[in-house]
Amino acid sequence: MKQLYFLKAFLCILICIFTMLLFELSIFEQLNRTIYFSFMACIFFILILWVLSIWFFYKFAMVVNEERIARETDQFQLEESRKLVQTLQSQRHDYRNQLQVIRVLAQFNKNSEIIKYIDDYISLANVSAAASSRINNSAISALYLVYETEARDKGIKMTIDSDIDFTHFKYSPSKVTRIIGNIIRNAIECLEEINRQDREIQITMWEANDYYVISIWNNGDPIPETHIERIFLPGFSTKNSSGLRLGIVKELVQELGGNISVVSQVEFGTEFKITLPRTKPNSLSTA
Amino acid sequence: MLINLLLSLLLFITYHLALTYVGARVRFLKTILPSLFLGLSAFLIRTVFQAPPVIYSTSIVVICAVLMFLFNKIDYLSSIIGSILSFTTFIVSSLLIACPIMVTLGFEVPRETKGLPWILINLAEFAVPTIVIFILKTCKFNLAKYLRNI
Repeated sequence: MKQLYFLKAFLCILICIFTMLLFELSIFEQLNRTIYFSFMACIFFILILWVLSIWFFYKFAMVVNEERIARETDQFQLEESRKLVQTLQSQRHDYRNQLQVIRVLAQFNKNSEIIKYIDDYISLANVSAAASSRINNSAISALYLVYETEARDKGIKMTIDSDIDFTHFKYSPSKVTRIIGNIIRNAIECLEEINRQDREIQITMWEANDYYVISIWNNGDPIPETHIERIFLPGFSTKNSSGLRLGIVKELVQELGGNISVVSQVEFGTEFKITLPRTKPNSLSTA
Repeated sequence: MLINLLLSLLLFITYHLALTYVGARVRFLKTILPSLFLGLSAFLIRTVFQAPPVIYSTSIVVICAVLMFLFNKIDYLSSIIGSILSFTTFIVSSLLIACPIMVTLGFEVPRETKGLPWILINLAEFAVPTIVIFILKTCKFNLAKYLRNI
């Protein structure tokens, strides 16, 4: 609807300019086709008007388009947050179910079975808990636990390894978790579509001389070479998704003064490598 | 008469310019028939009925838009926009470039639709739209894409 009004407005301006031009043409005829300076100036003025109107309409269209993308991005982030909350709610529900089972077993005094049940459950949960406990950043640990549980439920193995000392890590936890979370979510969705047993996601984080490096690797199908350059463009997607995630990731990484690269090959899998400078620029917010 | 008809057929350039303005990708063969119609209409209006330039220009703009809509399946708004843009370029180039060049070369701007000046001014008028088509195609300018991205 908006486009239609815009086109109609544009058409009206064009008709106005064209009518002015026809008016000039009739004057030209009345002047017996003699060329005067003022007449030429009028035509030149119409030409300038014509170019300016197109230029301003083009700028207007660009601004409106940027606003639309920003609005869609916000909406998308909201949806992602809702999904995360739903995952947490379902995990809480799962824990309550476990407690319910233990309660019933306790009612029948089946102590040995309670111990066995808890041991089984701990052996499952321990791996991710132990892995996340090695990361001394509560936001990233929590994010990992959420996604690890989701990945495990889908039959995807997810591991994390980090030697970053997060006590000196000055970056906004919300921005870093959004960066990592969006890439992990993409990896999970990519692996979900594959019928294979050895599906895996590896998160590796380390400190280089001047940079923190975060690598997120998965052994899913590689991204076609023709798509590699476009995957960070907002709206580009090879799946039936919004295609906003990697656009958001790139924007956030750049906002933090870092860089993101991707390697995707058949034998190797796909690796997103994010580098963030250890000395954070002063202008960046930690909020 | 025959020269006038041939000159009118040069309007296929403005027809292509209109299509280029709206970013329509149409096969050349599919533009032959509408261009022919446009040329014949121009010939009838200008040479046979001797219509004044204002009526001639307005009629040709409308006919061009209708032909784009009917033959090349361009939506009606884009057709009108493309047609007006194309003929605005044509008229501006005629008044601002072709006529002054003719005067500079020592010719008078012709009042009748015959003679060498008439042929020359017609050829000069079509030079600018041809250059504009070339520039737009090179820059891959697509007005419709920008307008629809809002």
